[in-house]
Amino acid sequence: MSTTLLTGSEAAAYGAKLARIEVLAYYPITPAFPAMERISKFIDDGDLNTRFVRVESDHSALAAALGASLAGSRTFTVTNSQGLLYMTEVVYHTAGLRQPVVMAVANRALSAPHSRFPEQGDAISQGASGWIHLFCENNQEVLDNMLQAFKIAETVRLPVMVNYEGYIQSHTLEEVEIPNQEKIDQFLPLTRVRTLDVENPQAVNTVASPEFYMDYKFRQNEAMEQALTVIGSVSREYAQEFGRDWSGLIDTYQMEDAEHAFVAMGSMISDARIVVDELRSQGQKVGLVKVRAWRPFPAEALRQALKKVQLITIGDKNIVYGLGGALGTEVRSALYGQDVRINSYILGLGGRDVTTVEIKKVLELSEKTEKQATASEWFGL
Amino acid sequence: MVKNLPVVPTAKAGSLVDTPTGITWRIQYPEILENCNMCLDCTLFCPDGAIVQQEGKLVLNLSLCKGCGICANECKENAIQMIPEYSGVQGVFR
Repeated sequence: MSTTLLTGSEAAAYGAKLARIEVLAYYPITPAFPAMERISKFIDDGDLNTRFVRVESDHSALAAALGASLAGSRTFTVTNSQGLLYMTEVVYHTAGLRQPVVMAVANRALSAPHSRFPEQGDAISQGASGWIHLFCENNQEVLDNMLQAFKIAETVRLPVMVNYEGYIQSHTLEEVEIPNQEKIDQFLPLTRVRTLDVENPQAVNTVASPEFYMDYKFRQNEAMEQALTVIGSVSREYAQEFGRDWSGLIDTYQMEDAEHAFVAMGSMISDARIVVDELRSQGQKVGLVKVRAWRPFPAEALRQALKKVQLITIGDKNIVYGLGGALGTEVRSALYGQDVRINSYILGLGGRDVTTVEIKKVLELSEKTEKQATASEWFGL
Repeated sequence: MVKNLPVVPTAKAGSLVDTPTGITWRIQYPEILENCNMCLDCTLFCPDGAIVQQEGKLVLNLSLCKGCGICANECKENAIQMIPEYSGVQGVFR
């Protein structure tokens, strides 16, 4: 175990190295590329025995990763924004074919207009894809979630996206503790499940006629529901082994007697913890609920965590046009029938800053606002 | 009742040869009439190889035929008739 300064991208690369990935398929895109750079350095230095498949597009990157996974290897790729959109067809293939591929996504705003700045819209666009989504609040969690992602993926046989925001996380140095390789090997033993097998030839992804397709989809969704339990148990096991508890599907902070809860995911969480401390010192009963797993959506966990509060404020770094922020919409749906005021705000799109100052303003604004009918309020225009 | 299916959507290699899909969605099938003069044009035009000559006779392989009707359209003798798969008030599958 050692502590060092790492960017989020490097933390993802160290996670991949500790997981002893066997295949990396990658096409360069900003801001995801430093993860690939660091992994190729590991390979070049002889520290990692990984086949690096260089491809001509993001679509091919995930296609190569999917093929490698079908052949039984532990497989990883990295992308963001346009790259994620370009590989979307294979994103769905990977989930439908139940392959435990892990993908790091350095969340970036989607074009048009063109932007290279952080936002969560790219991940949100894949919310129906059948991938498990984990959102990380800091670089340590990026590394830890990478390792948990492989364990979760290989247990329920679904792919996992590990989301961290471009620049805010991907390019910012933080102290990160790197776990011991031998302990990781015990936590995450290599289990190869091969579908492509020359001894037992199979036709993969054959046409499923109407009498089969729906049954396959039921099973796929069942695996997603299984993940609701597995994410928690993997998190607990990791906490026991490595001493860091990221608390399963959601994490709560100062929620015991909270009257007003802030709900968000990703980089906003670390700032929100500071805001909660500050407001608490002024006597305000404010708490924080962090959505760590966005898919499967932790509806029941949120109902439990939010059952005593009077006011919920949700921050969405994404916009689903004509509907509102994804988290705002989904938290409302999860709490249907519960007597609570819910205000949600779209903020921080395309790299617009959301610091402790903005979060505090959002909470103040929410306290003054009556219950809203939609999830389409904008903050910081 | 959910079917017991493999986790990864797969089928045994060659299963498509064993059970071709055409039969499940074909709506008409060809029947060769007595005025056939054995010119064999239909065997050349059939895109699925569903009509072959065997021992001086035309033989239909209905597990390959998708019912497109090209054979009947091309037959100069009008010696091929397309018969609907569903017939009668009950719509009984042949």
